[in-house]
Amino acid sequence: MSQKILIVDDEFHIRLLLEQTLEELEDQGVELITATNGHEALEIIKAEHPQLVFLDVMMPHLNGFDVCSTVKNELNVQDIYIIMLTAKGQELDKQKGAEVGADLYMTKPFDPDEVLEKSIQILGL
Amino acid sequence: MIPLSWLKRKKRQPNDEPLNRNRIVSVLLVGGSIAAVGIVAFTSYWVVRGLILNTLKHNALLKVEKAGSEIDTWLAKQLGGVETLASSYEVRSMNWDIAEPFLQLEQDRLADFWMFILVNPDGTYYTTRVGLAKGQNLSDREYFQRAMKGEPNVSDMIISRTTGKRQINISVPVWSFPRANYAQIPDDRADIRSKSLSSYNLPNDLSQQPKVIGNLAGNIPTAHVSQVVADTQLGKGSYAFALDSKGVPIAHPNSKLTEGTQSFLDSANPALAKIARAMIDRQHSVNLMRLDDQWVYVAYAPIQKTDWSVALVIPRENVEQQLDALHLLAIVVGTLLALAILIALQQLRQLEETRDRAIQESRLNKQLAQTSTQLQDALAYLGAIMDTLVDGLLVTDINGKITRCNPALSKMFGIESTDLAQQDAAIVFSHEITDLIAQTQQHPHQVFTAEIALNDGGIGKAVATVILKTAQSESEGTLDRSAIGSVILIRDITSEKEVDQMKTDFISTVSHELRTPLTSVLGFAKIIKKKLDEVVFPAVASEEKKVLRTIRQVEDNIDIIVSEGMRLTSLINDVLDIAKMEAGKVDWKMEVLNVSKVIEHAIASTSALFQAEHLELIQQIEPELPNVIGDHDRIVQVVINLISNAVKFTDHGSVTCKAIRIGDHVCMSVIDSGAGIAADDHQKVFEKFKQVGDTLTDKPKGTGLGLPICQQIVEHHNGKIWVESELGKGSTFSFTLPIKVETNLVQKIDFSTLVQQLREQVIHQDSETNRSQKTILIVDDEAPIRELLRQNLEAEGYQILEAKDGREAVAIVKQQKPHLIILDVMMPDMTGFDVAAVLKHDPQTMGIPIIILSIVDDKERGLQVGVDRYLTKPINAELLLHEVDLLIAQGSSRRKVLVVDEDELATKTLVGILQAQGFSTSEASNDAELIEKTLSTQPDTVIANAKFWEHSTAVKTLKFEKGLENVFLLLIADHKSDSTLP
Repeated sequence: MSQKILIVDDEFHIRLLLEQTLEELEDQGVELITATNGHEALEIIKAEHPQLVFLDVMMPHLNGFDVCSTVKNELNVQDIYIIMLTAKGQELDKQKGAEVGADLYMTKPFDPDEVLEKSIQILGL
Repeated sequence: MIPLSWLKRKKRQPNDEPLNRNRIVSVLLVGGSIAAVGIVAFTSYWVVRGLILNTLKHNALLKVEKAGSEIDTWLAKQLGGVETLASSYEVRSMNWDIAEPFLQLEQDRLADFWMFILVNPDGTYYTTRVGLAKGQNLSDREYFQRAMKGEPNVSDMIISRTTGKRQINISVPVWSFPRANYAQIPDDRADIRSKSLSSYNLPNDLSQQPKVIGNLAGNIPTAHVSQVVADTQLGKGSYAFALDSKGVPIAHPNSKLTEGTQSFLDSANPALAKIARAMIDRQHSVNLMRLDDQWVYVAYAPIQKTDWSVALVIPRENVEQQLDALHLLAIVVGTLLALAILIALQQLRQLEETRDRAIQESRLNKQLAQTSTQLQDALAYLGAIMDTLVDGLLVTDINGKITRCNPALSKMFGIESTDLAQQDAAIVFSHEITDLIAQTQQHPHQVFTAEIALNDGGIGKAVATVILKTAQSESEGTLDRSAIGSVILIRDITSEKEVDQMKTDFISTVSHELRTPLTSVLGFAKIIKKKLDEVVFPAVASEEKKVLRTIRQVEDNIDIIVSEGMRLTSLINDVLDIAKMEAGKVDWKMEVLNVSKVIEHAIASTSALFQAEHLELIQQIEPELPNVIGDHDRIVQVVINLISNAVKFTDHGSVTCKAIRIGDHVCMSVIDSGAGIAADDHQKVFEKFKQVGDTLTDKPKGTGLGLPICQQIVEHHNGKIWVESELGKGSTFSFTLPIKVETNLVQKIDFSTLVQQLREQVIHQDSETNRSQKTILIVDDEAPIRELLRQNLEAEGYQILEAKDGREAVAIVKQQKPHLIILDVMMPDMTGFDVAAVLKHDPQTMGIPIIILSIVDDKERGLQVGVDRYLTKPINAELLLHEVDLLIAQGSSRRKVLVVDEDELATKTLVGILQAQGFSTSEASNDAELIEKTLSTQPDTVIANAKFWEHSTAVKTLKFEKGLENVFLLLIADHKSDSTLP
């Protein structure tokens, strides 16, 4: 089974940026999937079982925290690493991220190199 | 004098005009009455005295008159006797031979007379003692001359020419025939007259007048007069005397004066001469005069039958003695009068005083009324202020009883009852308020705030402080401030909270909205750069100059985009920072800071800058600087900011980092040798978005928010930040932080020392532990982490169990009873906190120590559920192993602590601290409680106050109780000042 990375963001540019950042992983057989909102993300997670999810916090309808919480606490999905991406730089958000079970917390603007490095590490490539 | 002092005393009230006038009138009235009574009394005295004196004088005069009249009577008798003799036939014969026998016989009959003298008209004479006085003549004698003129008389004192003796003569004329108014004699008497005339051998011619044919004088001694005079006295020391018409004394008690015929007129004593003159002048009166050095009254009375006068000399006191009774009476009356005046004055004074007092009292009453009105007004004013306060006000006494509250408060908490006074605050209000009250009581010098849920769902901010009453301590003369209650002010901040929330949301939104496009810009720029470098440029194999230049330009441009993007990022971060600080949204993590370590940290973070700029960094850090309290990261941020600023504005030279102590503060300075700042701009550098210099020409460096952020941070720490600089001479940026007050610090140190003791105590007891017999359960949903931990711990010799989630963990623990559990928090289904809570509540497993190892830094929650250690990822293997060793060696979770202290407050404080650290605690305050609690709770550790220890026998005996041998005892000397531990 190939490894999958899910990119969840309502902003096209961010999705594109992450895709381009991670595109070199595709050479190693990693599949990049994108979702534009929380509901879509949940559907994909259930269906595709990605190993790594880049999850934006501020999204319409279902925000990143809710998605994360659902994934970690309700879907009982194991071995899924969720990196929260947010513009919020406040302690409160960090704490909330930890509470809902996020594994890592990255603040925008993020460094593409750091994203790539982290992904490689998490996927064990 | 009473009236004077009385008046003087009253003059102390100069502003009281009518009172003074009244007083003057009353004084005049009293004075006038006293004067009138005095004058009347004195006049009466004087009149009575005059009357008495007159009577006394009159008595004296009567006395002297009586003497005079006695002498007169006697003289008249003697004159009569001599005249009878002179009328006799024998004498009228003027023939001594005829007269002598008759006179001799008469001399014998009349014993008073010494002798008789018969004088012829020519002055020759015969006496009954010697007969004819030969060669003697009496014609010069006055008494003879007067007798010859037909005048019977008594002579003055004379010296007898015959005998040489002092004597007086009763001298009468001898008529030729008896004198009578013959013409009126009835005719029937003619015969008798004729017969008589013939017998005298006289013619019967009746027309003839008798003629003086001689003189008969009876010589008589003055003894009788002397006797009368001597008998005349008026009291002791008084005497009388008689003088003749020449002033010669006839009779005088002083016999020396009755020798010779020396006249008193010629006396050397002028007073005597004066008396003599008055007597010769025949005065009839009483005079007061000085005689022989004493005051005497002299009474004179002339004698009728002769020109003599009698005087009675009475010493004044004899007379005035009679006045003594009067004087006594006068004194008594005077004294009584004076006494009456005194009493009257006293009464008057008392009356005045009473009146004054009444006036003063009424004045005081008026003032009191005024003051109480003012007080009531002030109270009403205060009450009105309190009642109309928009904020809720609650005042309690030290026992938590409500003493005052206002309508706003009742409204906030929806309390119907209008009268809350004397009710217990704990009953009326929620525990949040009672907690606040308790806090203020425990820490009287601090202000406490809390957010409190209001009745309408809003939020109130309560500010509470203790009410201190300043009282003068008599014993030491110092000011004591004692708490008399607490005051709490509650403001409805619901709308502020909403605004605050909106602000927070706004900041979050703006931050998000800015960051998202920035992420794209920066991210893509970096990707473009990478792709250009890695793919595009190597593929362009053109040697064309234009192409190469373009490549270089594109490289530069993309670098510019990246660096500007990063600058924009830091700007946004700074804006967020300052916005959060201004909104109070920063969580300050205050701790004890070592200043030199802070500076080292900052220097380490900025070392790259120095290398890039070729600048020298000089450190001047005073040794043994005291610690400060602050948020480590924020203070480091300040120092980094100052250092990077210094580097930015310094082209060459050095940057100096300095830290010194100034009073109660530590002052840290960053000194550069750069361009410097003009004095006018010193304040501007701390303003937001202000960079000094011409913004059009000077290239801006940084965001312009660094110093304002530094200022915010420093000011939050109660410090000060400022710059000293001159253009061209470099700048010195300094800030101060207050040195931590020792008492608070001690508590902190105390506590950490105590906890350290608690943790390590067991090691000393059984350090030799066979690790191979100890099992450790690792609970983590991530296999790599479990693996990592397993490898580390197995290397130390421990037996390892693994669980990949909470449920599994709980099951394994119950089955296998590991000696220690390492627990992750973020796990599916059941979090680490839940696992810990389950295990720590099960008596079977509660003794197993738990170490939490998580990326979630929520130590507080972990300790609340009862875990023993809380470590955060990334894993610090060394620390973890140390803690594992400690806990394993300890054997079981040493969480049960019994605190023993007689000081309840101290116990509560310590218990609070220990509970916050996850210890399960119980308290005891005396021996009985100590034994009971020790046996019931079986504590692992007993913390006792050293003083309690000293006098408690229970503590010592407990040590030997079965099952308590291993109870660890900690002694603390004092919670506050000493941290000495046994």
